[in-house]
Amino acid sequence: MKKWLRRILLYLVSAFLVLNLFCALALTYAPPIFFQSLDEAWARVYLRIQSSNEHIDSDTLYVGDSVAGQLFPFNSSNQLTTNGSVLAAGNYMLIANALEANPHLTTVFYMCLPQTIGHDINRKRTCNNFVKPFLTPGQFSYLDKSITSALDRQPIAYLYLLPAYRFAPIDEVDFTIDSQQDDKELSDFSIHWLKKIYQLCQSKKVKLILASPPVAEHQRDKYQDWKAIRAQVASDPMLEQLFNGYFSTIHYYPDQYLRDKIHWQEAFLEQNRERITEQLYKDVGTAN
Amino acid sequence: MLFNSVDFAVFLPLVFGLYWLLGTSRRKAQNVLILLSSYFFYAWWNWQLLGLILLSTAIDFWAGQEIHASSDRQSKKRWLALSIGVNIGLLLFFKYCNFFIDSFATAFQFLGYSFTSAQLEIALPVGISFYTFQTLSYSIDIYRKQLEPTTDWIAFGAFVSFFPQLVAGPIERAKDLLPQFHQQRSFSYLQARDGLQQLFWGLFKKVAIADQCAPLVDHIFQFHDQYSGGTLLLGALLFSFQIYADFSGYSDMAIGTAKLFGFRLSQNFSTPYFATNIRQFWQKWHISLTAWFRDYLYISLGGNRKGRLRTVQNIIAVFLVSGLWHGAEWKFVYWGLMHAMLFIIAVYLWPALFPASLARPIRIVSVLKGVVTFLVVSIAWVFFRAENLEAAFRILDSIGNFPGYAFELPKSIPTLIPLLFTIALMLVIEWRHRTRTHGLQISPTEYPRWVRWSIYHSLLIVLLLYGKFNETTFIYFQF
Repeated sequence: MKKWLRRILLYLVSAFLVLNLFCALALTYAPPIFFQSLDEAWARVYLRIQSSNEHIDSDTLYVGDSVAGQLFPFNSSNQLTTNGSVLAAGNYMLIANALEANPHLTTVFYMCLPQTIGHDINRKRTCNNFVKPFLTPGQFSYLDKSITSALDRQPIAYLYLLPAYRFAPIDEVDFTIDSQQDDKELSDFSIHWLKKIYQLCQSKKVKLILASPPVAEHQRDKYQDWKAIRAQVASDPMLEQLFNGYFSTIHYYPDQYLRDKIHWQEAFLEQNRERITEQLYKDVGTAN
Repeated sequence: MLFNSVDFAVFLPLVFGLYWLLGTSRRKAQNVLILLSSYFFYAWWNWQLLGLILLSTAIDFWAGQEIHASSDRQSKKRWLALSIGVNIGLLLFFKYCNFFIDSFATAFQFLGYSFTSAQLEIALPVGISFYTFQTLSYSIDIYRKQLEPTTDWIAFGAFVSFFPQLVAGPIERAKDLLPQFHQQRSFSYLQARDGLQQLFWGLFKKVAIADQCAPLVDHIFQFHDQYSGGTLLLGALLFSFQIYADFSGYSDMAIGTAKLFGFRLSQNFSTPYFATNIRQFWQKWHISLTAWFRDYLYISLGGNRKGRLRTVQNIIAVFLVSGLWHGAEWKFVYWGLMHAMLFIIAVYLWPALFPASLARPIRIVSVLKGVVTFLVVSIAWVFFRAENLEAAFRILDSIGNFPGYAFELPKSIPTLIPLLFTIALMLVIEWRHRTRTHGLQISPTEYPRWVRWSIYHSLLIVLLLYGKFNETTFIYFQF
């Protein structure tokens, strides 16, 4: 039996090495169809990270949440829309990668609903949408204390540094905390990363446009027309500059066209996409 | 406790370690450990239903002794009737009570009487169809003087409740498995390696194929009215692979686990989808149940000894009972009936149309026969999987509507690629090893270690990338 157990141990060690080697190679060299085939949230975001390092023909980059993605669907070219759980930090990294690989970019469109733009890192979906795709060697240089302090609270998340662990069918790490941030206001985490996006674009002399995709009518009352966020913005000069014009891009549409609580029905978008985007470009003063 | 769960991943090494630490000379202590572990394994689901296993075990242990000790035939018959009555009674009550109430109500309403049926809230005990058949075989074999009763109640209890095959088979015969509890068992490197290979292959089939097919199949069958024949046919074909990977995967894990403890269980599947006719299919699919029905029902009814008409009647009876064994619903009755018809055609009509003298060993003909058999079996599975009989007929109607075919896929093409790839991988491996007892039965004399380990590593990578580890229950647990 000793021989058998020795063999099993040897096999497990070799399997550990082989799996990690395979996964490391896959993360670096696998084509997009490989990540699409995984049908996992983190893999979909990882596709955007890969695309952010590629050449972009256009001079405008679009990033934003999933409702923004309904207007500007991910196209692996210049529309790297993701979802709200990618956080401002994830969008910063996408923008930074794209600006690094494409010095010719002149405009960054950052589109988020008012209730997602202020998301904190201490959220349920942070692990799958932010930690798993972004905790990779290519993004290490962007990690700062705001992120590592959250990871330190859940040290098991560092296991994602092992390439195979990222693919393993293990329950995601829960980053939620008892004193959960209210999504009626901007979290300190989002303010920190929104300012970094602003500074990054300033330093690269790129025009940053912060805009909102269509908002459901019922949200107006629920969030008191974003009273808390407006107050935060008004009290911070840099935020004021960053959010300049943002609130005028908020347009409400009837709840009857919703697919769920925030996303729109495809039929509604098919009929109105052109009108909505024209309105958006008009609001921000940019020709299409 | 499911084989594909974290609980089992902890349970198995613990029991395995304790079992072999006891030493090979302490056979009785090992049997006690197996008995207690098996009860613990079952109680993990529902400890209250453990009483049924204890009841079935006690009755058959007692009946077995009495059948053997009785000198007159009448007395033997009475004890056998007790064993059959209790086991079949348990099955009828827990599995078929509501079915019979419903059927009677429908029949009365059909005759113009008003009859309101009341459904009883009865939980179906997991594995009841399996362990009752296993204990029945013990009593019947003693009655037939094919087996001596055991006086070791621990060994008998362990035989009835042996955890690897307790909940979904293979249905073991007492004359095969019980003597193994009386023998000294020693650890065999070769057997343990083979056991692990089979366990791993079963897990691969369950997690990488069956559980990957499940969401797609569930969706297509649930929303069948929204899809055309092409998609529904795809759903039926995928269900064929799902149920095979699920059930044969379970059997492989059961047999593999038993090998780790030094036991040999009977083979339950032998690449059934490579069968070239329905008769062959039934020699390869759920072998332990087919053999049980053959030995205890078909032969008892007279088998093929009483003329062709009686043989046909017996075949129909066996398939109808087999259908009902799977579930107390009319759709299973139809499924059984369809297979009975196909079986009769394969046995009588096919040889008459194509006499053996005309047969040519042409590979393309064999392949075509295999494909036709698989398609026919897949169509029959529609009865098995559909919500009810009406839904099954609606699905079959759409599948038969060739001009209206279209393929609307509920998932994107890239997400379907791994599923098709893993199915193809399973078919290639099983075809290559079709003469062996399981797909991953490879020996060091055949391939060097690096090749064998590369195969294991590759399967592990597929499992890691595409396996669904959501601890989905096995399809046959509901039977």
